[in-house]
Amino acid sequence: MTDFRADVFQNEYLPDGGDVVDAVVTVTASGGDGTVAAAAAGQERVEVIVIDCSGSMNEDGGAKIRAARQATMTAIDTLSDGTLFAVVAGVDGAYALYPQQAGSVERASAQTKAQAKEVVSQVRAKGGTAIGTWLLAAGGIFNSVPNSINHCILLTDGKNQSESDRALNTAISQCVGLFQCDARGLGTDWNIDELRRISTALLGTVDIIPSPDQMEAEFRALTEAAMGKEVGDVALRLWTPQGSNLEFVKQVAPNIDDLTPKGVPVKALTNDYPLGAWSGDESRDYHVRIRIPVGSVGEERLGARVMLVIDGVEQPSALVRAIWTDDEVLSTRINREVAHYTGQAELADVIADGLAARQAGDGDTATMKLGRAVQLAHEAGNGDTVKLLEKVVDVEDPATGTVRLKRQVEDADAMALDVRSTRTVRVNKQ
Amino acid sequence: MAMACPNCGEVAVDGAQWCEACGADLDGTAETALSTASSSPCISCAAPSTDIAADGYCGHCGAKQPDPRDHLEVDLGWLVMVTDRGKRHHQNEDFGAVVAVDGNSALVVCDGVSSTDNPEQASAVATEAAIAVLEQALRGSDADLQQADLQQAMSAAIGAAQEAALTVPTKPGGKGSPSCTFVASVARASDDGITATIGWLGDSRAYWIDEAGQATQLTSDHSWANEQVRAGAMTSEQAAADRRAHTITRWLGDDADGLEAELVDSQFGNGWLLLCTDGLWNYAPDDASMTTQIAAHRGDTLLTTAQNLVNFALESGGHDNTTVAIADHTLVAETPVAETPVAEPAVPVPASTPTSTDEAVVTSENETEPVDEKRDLS
Repeated sequence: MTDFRADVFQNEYLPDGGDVVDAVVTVTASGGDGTVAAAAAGQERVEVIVIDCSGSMNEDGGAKIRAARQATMTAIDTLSDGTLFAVVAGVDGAYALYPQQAGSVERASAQTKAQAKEVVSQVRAKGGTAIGTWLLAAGGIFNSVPNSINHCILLTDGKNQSESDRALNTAISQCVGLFQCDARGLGTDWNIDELRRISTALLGTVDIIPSPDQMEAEFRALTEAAMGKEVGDVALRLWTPQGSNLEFVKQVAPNIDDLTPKGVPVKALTNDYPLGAWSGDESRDYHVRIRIPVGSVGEERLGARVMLVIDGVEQPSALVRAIWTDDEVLSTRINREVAHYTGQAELADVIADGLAARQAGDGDTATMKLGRAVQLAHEAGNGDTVKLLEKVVDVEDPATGTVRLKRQVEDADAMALDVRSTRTVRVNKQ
Repeated sequence: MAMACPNCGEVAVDGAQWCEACGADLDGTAETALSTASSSPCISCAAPSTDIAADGYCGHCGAKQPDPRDHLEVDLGWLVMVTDRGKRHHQNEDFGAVVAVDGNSALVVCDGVSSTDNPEQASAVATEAAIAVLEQALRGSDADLQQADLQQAMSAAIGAAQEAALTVPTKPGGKGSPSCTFVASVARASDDGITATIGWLGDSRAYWIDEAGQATQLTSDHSWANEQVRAGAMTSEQAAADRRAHTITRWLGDDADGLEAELVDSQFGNGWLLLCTDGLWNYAPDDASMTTQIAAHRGDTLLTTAQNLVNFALESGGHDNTTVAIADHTLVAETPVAETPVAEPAVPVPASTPTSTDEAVVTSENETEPVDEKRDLS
């Protein structure tokens, strides 16, 4: 049985006239066994693997398509027995590889896995790339199973060339809430923005697989993580007082994801923010900022009531409070969690700005922004981000953020920095 | 038995198991969390009381509603109890109760330990449980209650209080087992004077105030400071100046195993029994200053005296929750019911030697915030 808990970290004291309340909410799932299929009774787990079979997958003497076949077979092997699954080939349209009938699933067993792998081992690459059609095909498969925990792995090596951007957006919006999607780009010819739009809307992750030989490990890890999900539907429910304005609610760990536009009103003053599927043993942080009507000194008000909705059931809440005080020692105290994630959000922003400036040929801005990024990542202990930055800039002094842009930067390194810029580290627990 | 309902503050009638005003369970064994549900509309936006959540926040504007426990009073004429949140703490974690049976009295005061989970619940349920046991003891015996009976009742009351404190839930990932201090008196009046037993854990105190108004501390604080003084390691001034001074060394609660209550037996002539939390005695730490403050704050009635003493603590800074409970046995003697003439003034016989210093200590500006803490047992 997985238990969920929400803890609020904040400085509840506001100065006289203060109206902005910041809080970090840590949501923790515990008690699940964390590894094996243990979905709630009556809930099926559905896994769909979409592999790009466009002509470009034949490049490098067929290394890409061979790696894709192998990675997909490994993913199939990683499926827990009993999982419902399907494999789709993505080109100008989407084609069911296994089971053969479009919009259907097969239950994983030694026999069906062998059949699926046999089909996958023979798949050929030929055609274009229309990712929207792939998503819609996956959606059709997930729709065939009611009340299930749905996860999709989507692989592409190229840009969405065979359909309009609008078609992709429409497809994404039709899939929101239906399944979670981890999007992976192979090589450097794909478009980060396209995959990020998919992963953000579908509560998944986006990442680069720089070379074909890294694909198998990635697919195995993604499938293992999907098999570990035990609770399919978690939402953060926020009540905020009359007259207040929820400035934002962002996931800030393990990566930054702005949930503000995803809010769904459920009752008066109350919105739900979908958090997707959870394993029985994980923890994520959310930064909430609310602007509330000013109270008088000595007054206490609720800034937000934080609830969790687990498979439709509301759980007891944690409180974001506001107490107005004329004691400056109290009101100027900076909450460690809030400060940390404010810094992490700035880090993601300056990386994005720095890379954009670099792309546009504005070396001064790029140097300044990426220098600031090095400084922030260094301060917060984001060792991984520092390493990614070092592929793009030469660091002279991380403490002051003194850097020089590298002359030669591998495309894959710049892309890796871009897609991973929203990954955060958590506050050091003292 | 008269006791304020922990939920709404209504004074409950004798033996009530449920509060007639709000229906809250009063028998002290319920595991229900004390809520601050109110029947008044929101103080800020006037939303109906039905819009106010059990935790006291308005479901419309979010304003925190005043907690009935912020200030509670019980007035039985010759027994009174006044408790107040004070000026610095966000809730009142003190609780008190009094009971009168045929001129005999029992008082209970508990101070929740702020560094634990739900201390305000611990103090309330411990108080309720203890006063119920003491009331039963006073009521059950139609004949003479001997000192041994009072001792037995006090031990049973402390046992019940401890058991009740154990029922208070901890918070997930919280600070620690709900805990509180405890001080209680049970006193029998007879022609020969007052026979009393005092029991306590922690730094809440009991005083005897004789007919001349002289206050004598009957308890000896289970606090870091007092242990240092008792051990001869420090003077009381040195100990009081240490930041650990207020750390208590005994308490009620889940991790209080092996922490024994201390009991003292006393015989007095006539006078008052006064129980209080450190919210009061912090501003009158020794017998001399307590004597002075009681004299300075005498009111027309016992209730106004108790109110004045609490106000004195508030005016002195109100750094902590403050609770005062008094049983004035001279008032019983004056009523027609008790025909016994007032006994000759007698010297109180405290079991422990009270410490005394020369002058009243007045709180200084630089005083550190008193925070109830427990000694780390680990």
